[in-house]
Amino acid sequence: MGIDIGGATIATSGSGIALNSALVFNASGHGAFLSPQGYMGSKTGATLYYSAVTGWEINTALWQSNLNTTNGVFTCPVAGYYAMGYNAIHRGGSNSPAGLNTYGYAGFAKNGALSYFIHWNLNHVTNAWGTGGTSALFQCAAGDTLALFVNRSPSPAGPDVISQNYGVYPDTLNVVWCKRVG
Amino acid sequence: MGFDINGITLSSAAGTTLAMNSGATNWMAVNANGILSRPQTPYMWGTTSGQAAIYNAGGGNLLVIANENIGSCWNNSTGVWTCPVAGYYMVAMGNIATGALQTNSYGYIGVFKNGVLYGHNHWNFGGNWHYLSLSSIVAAAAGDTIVWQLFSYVNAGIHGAGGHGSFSIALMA
Repeated sequence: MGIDIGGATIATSGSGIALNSALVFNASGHGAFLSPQGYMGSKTGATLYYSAVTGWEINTALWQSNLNTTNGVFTCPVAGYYAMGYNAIHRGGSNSPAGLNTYGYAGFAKNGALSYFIHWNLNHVTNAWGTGGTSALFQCAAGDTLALFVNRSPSPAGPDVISQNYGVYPDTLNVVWCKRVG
Repeated sequence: MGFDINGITLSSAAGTTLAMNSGATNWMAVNANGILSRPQTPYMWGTTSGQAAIYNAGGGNLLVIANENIGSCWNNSTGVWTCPVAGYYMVAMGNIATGALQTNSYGYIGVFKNGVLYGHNHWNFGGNWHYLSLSSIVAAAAGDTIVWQLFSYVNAGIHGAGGHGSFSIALMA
């Protein structure tokens, strides 16, 4: 037997219980929200390392909702707190290659305004990469957007980043995710 | 007075907190300030303590030793997390990596769901230890398994002796 409160239900689910069919507990009290409200994926198949000044495309989504896969912009479906993160390998640095500056920055943007910068500045070594990434929490209203950008103005990226094709490795070896957490 | 739904009770014994309990075990509570808690949420965190200084498990599952293991979903002996319910699981690790000669070291760290690569990161550098991290959110069904493995490495691994990194998994809200 369950409870119906104006159409919202609290009902049994196997040996557990389900709240409005969305928050489901098993018999041990392990409860999960089944609505995704986020995404996880990566950019695959590209060769231009810096190519995220207009948004980090996520053309391979393992799961997603509310994500524009052509520019990596996620639109928050409801107000709440959202966690966002990325992992990747980076290339570029001061005097790398000699005489040029290819250091870089990545940043998350809420409604297009960059914040939560992270920076790399690596020695030039053949085939050497800087492993890293960052994570952040955002308070958002419904309709707010979140996205990852790389070397987008006004970040003070090295002046030779684009001409030398440096930045974040774009094919598979990157993971980007976002999820409502509260 | 509370509601009993097949042995699971919704009650407000203190008059200010709405609690959902199974017997004496609290599954969920919302207090007077609207703060939600779910103390049975599956979770683990641990380290690779006691392993070799350069540890790769031979390409098998990284045998992380859990310091906390709420729900007993993590198996120390096999390095396998078994998802108890369908949901989205936060999977995160950070450590340092190197090669046997601490030069020209490279390799990959991956999160695998049911044996299939789900997300990965890479290290490739010259000299000494290098920071390595990987975070991801795995969409899983009940019974799915999650493991960490290193692959395509050459005489390389993460620091396995403990105190140099951590691993964690939790069912997300």
